[in-house]
Parts: sequence; structure tokens; C-alpha cells
Amino acid sequence: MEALGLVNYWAFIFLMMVGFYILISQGNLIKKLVGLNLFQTSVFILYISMGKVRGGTAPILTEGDPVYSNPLPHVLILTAIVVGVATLALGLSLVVRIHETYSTVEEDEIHNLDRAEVEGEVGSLDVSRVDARA
Amino acid sequence: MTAHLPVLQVVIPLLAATLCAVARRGRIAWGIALATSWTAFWIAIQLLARVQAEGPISYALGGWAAPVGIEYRIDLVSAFVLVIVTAIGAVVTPYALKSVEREIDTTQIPLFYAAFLLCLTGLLGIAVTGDVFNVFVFLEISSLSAYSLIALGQDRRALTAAFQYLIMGSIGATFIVIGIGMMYVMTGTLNMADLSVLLAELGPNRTIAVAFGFLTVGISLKLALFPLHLWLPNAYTYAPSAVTAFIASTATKVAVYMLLRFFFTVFGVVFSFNVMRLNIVLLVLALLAIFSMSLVAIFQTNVKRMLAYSSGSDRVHDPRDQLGVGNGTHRGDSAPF
Repeated sequence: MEALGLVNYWAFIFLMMVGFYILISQGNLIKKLVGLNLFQTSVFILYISMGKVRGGTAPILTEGDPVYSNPLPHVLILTAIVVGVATLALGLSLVVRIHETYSTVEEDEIHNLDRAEVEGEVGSLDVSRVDARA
Repeated sequence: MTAHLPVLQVVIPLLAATLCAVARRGRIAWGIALATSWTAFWIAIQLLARVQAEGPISYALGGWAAPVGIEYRIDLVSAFVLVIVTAIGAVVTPYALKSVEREIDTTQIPLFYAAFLLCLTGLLGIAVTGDVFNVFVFLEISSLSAYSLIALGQDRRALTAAFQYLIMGSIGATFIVIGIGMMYVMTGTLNMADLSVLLAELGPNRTIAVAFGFLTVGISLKLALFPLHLWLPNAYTYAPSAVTAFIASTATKVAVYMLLRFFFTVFGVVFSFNVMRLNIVLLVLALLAIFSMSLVAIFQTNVKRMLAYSSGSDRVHDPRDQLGVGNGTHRGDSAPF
């Protein structure tokens, strides 16, 4: 019974691990961002669950002494949601720029392109680099 | 006016950043950034002088007293960090004018200075605040602007470096939020001073140990503590020069400050070093890092990249200094700086 009562926390751990796994295992930058977002979002469940009181209402001042949920974790998560959205937006715009310059969003291919460029630089001596800097 | 200096330290760069963002011309934005960074430096010196004369300053944001409201708390260590960060900002800005005009597209220059000032805001915020969730918010302000600053580098590899930094930095930030959440579950407070008292009363406890682990790993990712440093060399190498100069000398140092703040103020020396045995972990990692990073640095051909690896080995000296503190005195708190 106790395990069922903690179902929110199990969901948090499951989502966190799924997100983290996608983040590590996928080579596609968009999929990485999906994983990252899932990972960040899972934390929201942790915070919202810990503030919730069973049968509690919204914390509005009324007559009597109603049972209410702790609003602070909920407010904190509002901030974390904003941070998450900003991170995702920045990440996606970086992917757009990466796609513009590399014409791919696969990590392996980007890595190969970079390596080819480095080898090209070493091969063609340093003259070209000096020109580019001047 | 002087009573509000702690909050002005953060608010002035924040507002100036929005001014920069709407400025039409790069030179105007640069002027704003220059004035702001020197003002911030002046405020930091004032604060340091006041802390030295009168002891720690506590500022209740919006008039809400400490455990309920957000408290800005400046002691000698944080005042020192403020002076270092603002001094580097003030030195980098005049030099940035030419360097930025050469390296960055003209239309993007005002936005560059806006991001620069936002980064400064975040770093200063981490140093002044006495509230753990506020630390996270300022950390993300500084990190997000740092990602975009690094992506402005001329080389296209700056983009992938910034992306890598974004992924690792966000993992770190999420770990920090989880750690903070667990501390809040156990104590019901977010104020650092309050936390340290309540955590000490609570004694060693599994949830707190897990929170400690999450926070340590999270902050270590942010400060590129060996072996979590993989994002750092690329990010420093391909960023615009002014950005490398600023971020390399401030962002990771502020993260070190944050780590010390959590180890010494929030968790306390006894828990961090006697119960969790962190000194042994850090000692081994520090030694490994010094040797491996220095070796890698020797074989680099790019100067900026060499410096990046060398800074990788330098920074992990810090935990070693910190060990001295763990073994005895409180006075060594500022040694790593």
C-alpha cells in the first residue's frame, strides 16, 4: 500500500531515467533535446507532489481553517518551467544554426565533418589559416 | 541609497541588459555595458568595505524577513567574489569594443552586450543571495546567456560547443533542483542560514545524503570539475575572445564559490567531510585532474585550447585547498580564490 502511495515519486524516477537515457543514447540533436526536456519536466512532478496535501484546496484566505496544499513548491516550479522553456528554445535555435552550417543534426556526422576540416587544415599547411586571420 | 546596495548590485546590470537589447547601435550598447560594469565594480568595493567594517550584511528583499522572504546575505567571501567578478567584467568591457566589432556581426552587437550583462547579473546574483532556489534561478540566468555568448564564435564549431555545454549545463542544473527539492522536503525551508541549522538538528539522513550527492554532481558539472569537464575545452576555444576572457575567469569560479557555500554553510563541515568523506573523493580527483589535464595541455597546438586545459588543471587545485579547510580551520575558506 505504501508503494502505491508513492506512485508520483515512482513516476518521477521513471520519467527522469527515461529522459536521461534518451539524452545519453541518442545521436540526433533534436532527440537529445526531447530527452533533456523530459528529464527537466520530471522534476516538476517531484515538486508538485511534495506540496500536495490530500483533500487540500487552493491556499485562499477564507473563514474557518481549510486544509490547503503548500503553494511554495508550486510557485518554485513555475520558475523552473520558465527556465525549462528558455533552455529548450535556446537549444532548438542552436540546432537550427547547426543545421544551417553543417546541413545535418546527427552528432556522428557533425563529428566527422569537424575531423575532416581539422585534417584538411593540417594538410594544406598553415598559410590559409594565416590569411583567414589577417 | 547605500542600504539598498546589495540589491542594486544585481538589479543595475539586469536593467542595463534590457537597455542594451533595445539599443540600435553597437557603440551605444557598449557604452551602457561599460558604465554598468564599472558601476557594479564600484558597488562591489563599497560592499566589501562595509562588510569588513560592520560584518555580514543581510538584506530582506521586498521587506519580507528572512525565512519567509528571499534574503540577500553578503559576508566576506561573497563580497570578495563580487569584487573579483565585477573587476574582471570592468576590465574585459573596454577591451571588448574592438574585439567584438571584429568578431561579431554588426547587427548582433547590442544583443551581445545584453547577453554579457545578463551573464554578469546571474554571476553576481549567485554570490549575493542567501536562498538556495534563488541560486538556481541566477545560475540559469548566467548559464543561458553564457550558452548564447559562446555560440556567437566565428568558427562553426562554436555552435556544437555551445550545444554540448547547454546539454551538460542543463543536466547539472536539473540535478541541483532535485537536490534543493529534497532538502526542502526534509526541512521546509529554502533559506541557507535556516537550512544549516535545521539540517544539523536532523543529523545524518539518507534523503539528505542523496540531496548532497545530487548537488555535488550538479554543481561539479557547472564548474567543470574533473571528470565532468568535457564541455569546457571546446566552449572556451571557439567562443569569441572577449567571452572566453570573461567566462573562463568568472563563471567557473562562481560555481566553485557555490560549491563551497553548499559544503560549508548549508551542509556544514562535519557532514560534508566527516560523514560524506568528500575530502577523499576530491583529493583523488584533484590529483588525477592536475596530471591528466596538464599532460593534455602540453600536447595542444591551439593556444586558447591549451589555456582551456591548463585552466582545467588549475581549477581542481581548489578542492585541494579546500581540503585544508576540511581538516581544520574556517579561516581557509577563501584560500581557493
